[in-house]
Amino acid sequence: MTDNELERALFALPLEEPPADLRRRILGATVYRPRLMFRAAEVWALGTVLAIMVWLSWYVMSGAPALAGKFGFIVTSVVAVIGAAFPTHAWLWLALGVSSTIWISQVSLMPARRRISDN
Amino acid sequence: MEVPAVTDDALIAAAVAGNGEAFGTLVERYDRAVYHLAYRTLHDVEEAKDATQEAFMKAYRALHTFRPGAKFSTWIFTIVYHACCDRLARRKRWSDTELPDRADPAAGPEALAEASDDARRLRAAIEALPEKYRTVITLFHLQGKQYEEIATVLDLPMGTVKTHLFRAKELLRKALGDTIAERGPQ
Repeated sequence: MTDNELERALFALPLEEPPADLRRRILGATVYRPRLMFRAAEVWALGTVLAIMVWLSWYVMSGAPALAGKFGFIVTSVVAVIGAAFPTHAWLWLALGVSSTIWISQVSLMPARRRISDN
Repeated sequence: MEVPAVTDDALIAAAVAGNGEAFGTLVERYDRAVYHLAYRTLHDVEEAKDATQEAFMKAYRALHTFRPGAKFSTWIFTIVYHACCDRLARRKRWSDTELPDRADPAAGPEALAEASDDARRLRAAIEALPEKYRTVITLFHLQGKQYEEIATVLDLPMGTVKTHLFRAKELLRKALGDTIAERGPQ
């Protein structure tokens, strides 16, 4: 077999037939790949905030029990200060006012529709 | 030689601008050749499919870095060849018995003798070549006598490519001659 004959045979050789699903797979992984809902910068920002919050929670809950106590104390203090701002009878009036508002909002003052038989 | 209606450069520019169909056309043009190179290098359908997909994904992501005027075929062949080399290196790492210059065990003289026609015999002879010669001959088959392009894909000096090609052809001629001799006069 001469060099020319071999080259001719080589160039006449049909290419390997690719599997039927290959093109669909390639296009699915490239042009038809679903886009992310967030932009890359937003994903980074959200991830960073989440990581800081996780770290802070872990730090408060495990690393610094005193800080956890302080946090609890701050929350109860705020509630106590709000509670102490009004005397007991003021709370009663406030409760009455809120319940009256809800009750009045439920009452319909529109006249009832007449029945046909009334005519 | 048939000239494609839209050049690769135009398709790449359109794809970079966000035209998915343009990239789809590039895939249609080259997926067969890229798969062929991957299959010839890896000898495994699933791995060849994965390497082809990986190559097109990398090309799609890096399309904006493609140098205008360069050949897309050379670029995509380089990417898939590197993907194949990574897979062969991984194979070698995980299996002591598997060598990079492995020959397909199914493509021995018996397999060659069983091949019914010239194309099948040639295909079997190519598969029996050591990996470095097989890759050069496959790229020669895909790209023709563009030695510079082959050297770029394989990252080898032109002289080495020519030497590998010469030896590959010699081995092919020997294998095909042996097969013909084994078949005897018809």
